[in-house]
Amino acid sequence: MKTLVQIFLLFSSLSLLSIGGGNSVLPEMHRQSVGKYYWLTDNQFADVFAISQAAPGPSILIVTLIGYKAAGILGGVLATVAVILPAATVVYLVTFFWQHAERSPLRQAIEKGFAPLTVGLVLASAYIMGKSTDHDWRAFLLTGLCALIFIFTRTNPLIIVALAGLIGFLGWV
Amino acid sequence: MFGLCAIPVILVLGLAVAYFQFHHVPSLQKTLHGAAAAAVALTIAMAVKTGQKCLHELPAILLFLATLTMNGLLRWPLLLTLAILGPLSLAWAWPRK
Repeated sequence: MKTLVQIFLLFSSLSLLSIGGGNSVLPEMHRQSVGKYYWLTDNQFADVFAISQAAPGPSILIVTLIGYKAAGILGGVLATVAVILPAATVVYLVTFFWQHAERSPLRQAIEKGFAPLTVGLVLASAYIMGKSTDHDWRAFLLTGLCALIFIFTRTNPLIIVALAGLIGFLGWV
Repeated sequence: MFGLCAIPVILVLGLAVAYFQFHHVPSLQKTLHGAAAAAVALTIAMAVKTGQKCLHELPAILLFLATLTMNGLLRWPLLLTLAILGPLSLAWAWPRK
């Protein structure tokens, strides 16, 4: 029961702090689920990160995997509800304000001011996940090459993730 | 919204059951190791593409670097990072007449 409460409190609070989307809260998610509650190891967190990115649906469903590891099926479902409901409620409420406040200084400040924070949080996520997954030069090289493909081409990311998985399966990284 | 989320959640729960049942299998570990390297790249690309759109002024670049340092390098709690940098970013971006 204690774990279920922890799951709900952690993921609902992350939901409310997820400016710029789910990827912006990955460092905090890692810090708490690996470093504070010990629900997963560092390697398992990296693995569930890869699964959530490759699986259909929003990548924030990484919380389903973490919740499952912490407390079984109920934990997975609770983590999902905890991360979706608060953010969805806030978006629902804010939409009314947003539509009627096109010229509001607050709206303009939030849209412009939070964007650099979002980029910093997402790159922090990449750094934390890179530390967990890329342990040698071959993995760094694979990450670098994939990043260049993602930045400069419109290739379907799932194809690249699948190919990288194949490269891993063959033992090349 | 429930319908939109239910199927992916059921699928991911299935993947969770399969992963934690078989995660010690070497070939699965190696496959996920490769896929994780690409998933990190996907996150880097997301940061680069968003950054190209919004990091044009020095204060924006400083806010970006401060966020990366506090949350990523120093591992400060997200709430503390946002409590410090949120008001600063709003003050910077507040429209001036």
